[in-house]
Amino acid sequence: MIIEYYRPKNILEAAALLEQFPDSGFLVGGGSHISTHQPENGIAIDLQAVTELKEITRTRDNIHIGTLVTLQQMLESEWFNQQLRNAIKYENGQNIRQTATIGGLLVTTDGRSPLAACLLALNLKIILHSRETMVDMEKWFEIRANIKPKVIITGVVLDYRPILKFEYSARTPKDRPLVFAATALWPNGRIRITLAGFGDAPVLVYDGLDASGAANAASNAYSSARDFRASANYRSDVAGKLTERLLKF
Amino acid sequence: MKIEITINQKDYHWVVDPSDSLLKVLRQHGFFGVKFGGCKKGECGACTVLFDGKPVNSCALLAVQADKHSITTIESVGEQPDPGWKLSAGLHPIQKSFMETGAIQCGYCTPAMVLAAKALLDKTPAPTEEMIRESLSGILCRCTGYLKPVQAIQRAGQNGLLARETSKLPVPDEDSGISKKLAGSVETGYSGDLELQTKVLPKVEIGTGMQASLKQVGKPEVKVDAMKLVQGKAAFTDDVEIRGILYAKVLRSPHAHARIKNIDYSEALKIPGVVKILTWKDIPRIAYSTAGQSDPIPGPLDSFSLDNKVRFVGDRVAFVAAETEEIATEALNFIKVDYEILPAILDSTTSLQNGAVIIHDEPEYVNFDASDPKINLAAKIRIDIGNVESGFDEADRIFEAEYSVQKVQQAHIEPHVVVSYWDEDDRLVIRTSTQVPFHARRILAPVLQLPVKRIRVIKPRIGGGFGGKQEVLIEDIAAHLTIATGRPVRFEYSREEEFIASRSRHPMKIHMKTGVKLDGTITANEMRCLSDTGAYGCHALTVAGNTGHKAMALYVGDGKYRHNPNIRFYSDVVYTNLPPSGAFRGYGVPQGYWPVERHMEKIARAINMDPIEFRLKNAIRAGEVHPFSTAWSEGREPKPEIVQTVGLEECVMQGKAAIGWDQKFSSLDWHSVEGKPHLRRGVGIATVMQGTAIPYLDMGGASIKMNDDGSFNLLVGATDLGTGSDTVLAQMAAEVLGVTVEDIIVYSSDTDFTPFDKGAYASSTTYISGTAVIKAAEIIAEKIKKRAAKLINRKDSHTEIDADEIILEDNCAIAPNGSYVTLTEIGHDSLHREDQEQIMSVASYVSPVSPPPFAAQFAEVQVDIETGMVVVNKLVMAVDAGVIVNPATASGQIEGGMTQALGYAVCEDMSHDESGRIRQTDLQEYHIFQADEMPELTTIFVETFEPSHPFGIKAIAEIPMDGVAPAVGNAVLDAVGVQIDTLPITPEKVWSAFNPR
Repeated sequence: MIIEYYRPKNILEAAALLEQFPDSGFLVGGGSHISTHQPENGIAIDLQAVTELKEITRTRDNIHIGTLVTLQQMLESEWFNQQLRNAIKYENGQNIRQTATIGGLLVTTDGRSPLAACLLALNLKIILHSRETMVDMEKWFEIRANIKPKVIITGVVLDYRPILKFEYSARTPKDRPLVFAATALWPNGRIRITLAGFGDAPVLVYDGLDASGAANAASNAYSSARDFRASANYRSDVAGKLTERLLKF
Repeated sequence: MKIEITINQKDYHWVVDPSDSLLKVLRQHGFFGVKFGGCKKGECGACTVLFDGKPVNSCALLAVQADKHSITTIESVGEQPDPGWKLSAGLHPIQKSFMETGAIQCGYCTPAMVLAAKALLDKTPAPTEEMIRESLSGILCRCTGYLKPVQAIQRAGQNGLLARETSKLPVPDEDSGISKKLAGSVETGYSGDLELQTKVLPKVEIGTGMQASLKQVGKPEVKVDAMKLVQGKAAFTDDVEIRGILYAKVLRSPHAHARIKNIDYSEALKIPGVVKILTWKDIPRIAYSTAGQSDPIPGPLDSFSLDNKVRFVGDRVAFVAAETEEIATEALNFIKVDYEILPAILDSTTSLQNGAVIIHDEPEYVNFDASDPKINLAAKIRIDIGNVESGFDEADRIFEAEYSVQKVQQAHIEPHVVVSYWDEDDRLVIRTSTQVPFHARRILAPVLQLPVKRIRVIKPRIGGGFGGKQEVLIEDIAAHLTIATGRPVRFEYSREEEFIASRSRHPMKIHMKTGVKLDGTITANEMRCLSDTGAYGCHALTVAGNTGHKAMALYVGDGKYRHNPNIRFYSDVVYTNLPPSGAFRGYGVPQGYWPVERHMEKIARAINMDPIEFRLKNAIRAGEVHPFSTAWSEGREPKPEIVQTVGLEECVMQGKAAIGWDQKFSSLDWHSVEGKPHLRRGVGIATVMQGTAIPYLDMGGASIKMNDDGSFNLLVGATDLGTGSDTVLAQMAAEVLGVTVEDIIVYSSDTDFTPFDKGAYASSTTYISGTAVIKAAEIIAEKIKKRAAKLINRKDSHTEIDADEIILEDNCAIAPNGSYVTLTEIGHDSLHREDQEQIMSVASYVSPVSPPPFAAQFAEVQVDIETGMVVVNKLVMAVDAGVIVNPATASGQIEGGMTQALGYAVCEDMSHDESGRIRQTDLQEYHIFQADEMPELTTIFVETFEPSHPFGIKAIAEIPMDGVAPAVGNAVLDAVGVQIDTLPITPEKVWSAFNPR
């Protein structure tokens, strides 16, 4: 139940509102989860008028994505490689992509998100308003549930140099994955491997130059990943095999 | 708070609640083209609007987010092309294309698709198929399989036909009866590089050749309801605004099995806006069955509107009526219920065990046939045909195996929804999305303690049903509250309620035992089946009966066994404390064909016989007795039936050619994928038969009235739930009356105005209701001919034309000498000139037979041997459904049915946790196929002429559900050599077969 609605014009206004309503205030990005994430007596702080959060810009190695950039905008941008665009298509159908934002994804995603797993593999950095440093995505998943006071994600930074690949197992091509493995390979040989398909957030299973033990690491990471959708034995075995397959490139 | 919003280029200033969704506000203001799919996360997309030109889900946005934005709804797209004297811009090319391509079935998601297409074509006038499928990826359709919507959008693009304002329907190829455009063949103007993922191949005729002489039957006419559906007109149950309406909600049980010791709703009643709360103490205790079937219902009476006991998580506890939906929802939280929790049965194998808790211990329980609540038995079937034990003795080998099928949901996009009110004559009007309006009226009368004559059931358009609405599921809730309050009441299921408190396909555990000679002759075939009806026995007997009646009838054996087959079908249908099962398209037959067709494949391979040859050797042939017709008829006296037409062999030949069976099945090379050592390919087949209506029981009625201008009102009680049945009924009437479909105004259905009809189920409408329509049309045709003879003879005193010599054609009554009068003249004369009379007729029909359609269904799959993931790349269905009345709607039935069946094969599954709670409560967790992940679909019609029907038709609606799952299972076997015997075929099951513990 929302009892008040605000539409701040800039980040400072938004931050002030968040400070004014520390408990009941909540941010609305695109709004694709609003119907299922309404706090009791909530104060909605809709960021849609904060135009500075809607931009995608590029530097030599990085792409800066404003928190309100929608998944559809990302899909239509030529700056993102095809595999990431495929992950975006896999993440949601077109209607939801039109409203779902990158910021919203980071706040609401669970462990079954193909796109979140890819972004984690690409070592996405998260920019929080009024914080001095960027937060790694894996760190974000650790802190996001309990972060106090509430903060505004103003954007993310994506390193566009790595080559992204993913493989997955699912009941159908567009069903949420049972196991999803993504790898990002940097020009210097650095490899990051992530898994999705289970739990509250995708997991990073490897980050380094020598990936010889990565398949085992992936297998171990899902050794307890059991729910009604699949057994831990299955997920663990498939995580290892998909990782092996990806490392052959 | 106030918002300024531009809708369809017009500015509005509204006051909204900050919590209101955009969907809610739009519908409150009469934009009924924006539909509600019951979901909360925007999974279904039925509520699509264009938000600043982009398609979004209005259910997932707040109305306040739309402040100072521009919204486009379907109401602004196109208009009725002929509004009388007013000039009209006509329909948008996309809408025309949707109508002409047959892209509309129930039409509930059509406005969303049209808007998504508009957004796409505004930006990309000539999109690729992939782009089109992407544009539809956020909109779920349960009817079409997406094929025809994709074709429609492609055609509406700049390279498509409709950009040049072609206004005619795709013209059928006179030889094939199939639209060339639908077939993607030689029409100029069609994009040359169009390679849509679905094909409809020309039909093959085996029959009298009578089809060629037909003018309306056999043609892909535009659906008679397409115009309103494509414009998003207020055609559905909830598309009405009634002053003073209350909103209903239901408090549901959190326990699988419990007795209600006490309910205290005093706190809830104090909430402002709460008008009424009903519990079991407040309403009459009437035992009834919710199954929408003819009287007497072939099942136990074991349900109550409200009871002092709950039997599954989600069962009803109390009804609330309030001024708003939000208040009603809030009130649920303040009703205090004191439960005595009872042991629960969550596994059907334990229901019959000694000492099991009794789920139905109520004294009011009314048995039917062998049901016995004391042992949790809802129904029991024991059918022995021939001498099964002798058959086993005569076999060289016996094959036995266990199979199982899961619980799945109909998932129609329009949820169950009802509005009830007292009319000015104090008659209770129930406007409801139902497949069975007349059964609903009959069943509700005792429950509400009203005579039938004081209840009127109106069925508007239905947004999909698939059996889920062959149930009197929610009408009583609104009706009780209207009786209690005197006010109109609206009640609509959420998507979660569709899963936890609706009906579903019966899950079954099946044992197969088959005796075979080494030459491949089946000597005896046995199926023992344990069916789980859940907490209530709706459709318990008849669904299980159909499992055997259809699936076990196909293989009679060869040689002497053809005339004396040995078949056994035993089934126990048991109660559990899980959500009730019920009717779902296919009605028990898909459950039967999974084990039968998997079993046949295993046997053929085990005796080194070609699986197709083995099937055809043993399959029933034309002229043979339907084996089950001698033994069972839904609890009534069986009467033997001869199967007159069997196009199965031709179906197999056509299907094999379409999927390239001979090039693939025995080719080792083809089974591997170059550069992908972890992938294997395979093909599989299943052959199937269904039924057409229920003989000697279900009745359809029709009445026809002639108007001044020679047009006709056709009133039918049959319920078109998106299948196109209104259209095919109009085609049949038009054929007899010598007019076009445009001259037939179809109305269905309203218990006050239309003749009785059993409703839409059992693949019966075209056959049963269609025959009633033909009979009514024949009666009226005779009257027309008599008047025509008079008029012709009056014009020319030198001739004496006999009425019997006149034919009706091209809107005229024509004498053998070429003289004629138009139907307009006849209609006008009959009403205004001489011997005035209202030319009208009424007829009804009950069939003595149930001629089975046949089909061969094929699947091509790709299997990942490391993960077990199965991707279905192609589905082919060659079907003998008799003469096809409308190839566009019929192929749509096949495509949509195959898609539903594909979900049954690989992903759809309602599982429950240890407390009995269903885990899948939305259309994300319960995944149904999307537009952007569909396999290639191919439909082939093998037309036979069924002599029991005037136009030679058989049924088509349910048979596509039957063979997809086993064909996929057999294709997996062909690809990787593993046997998957339980549905759905999940990656883990395939993986487990490779990695046995």
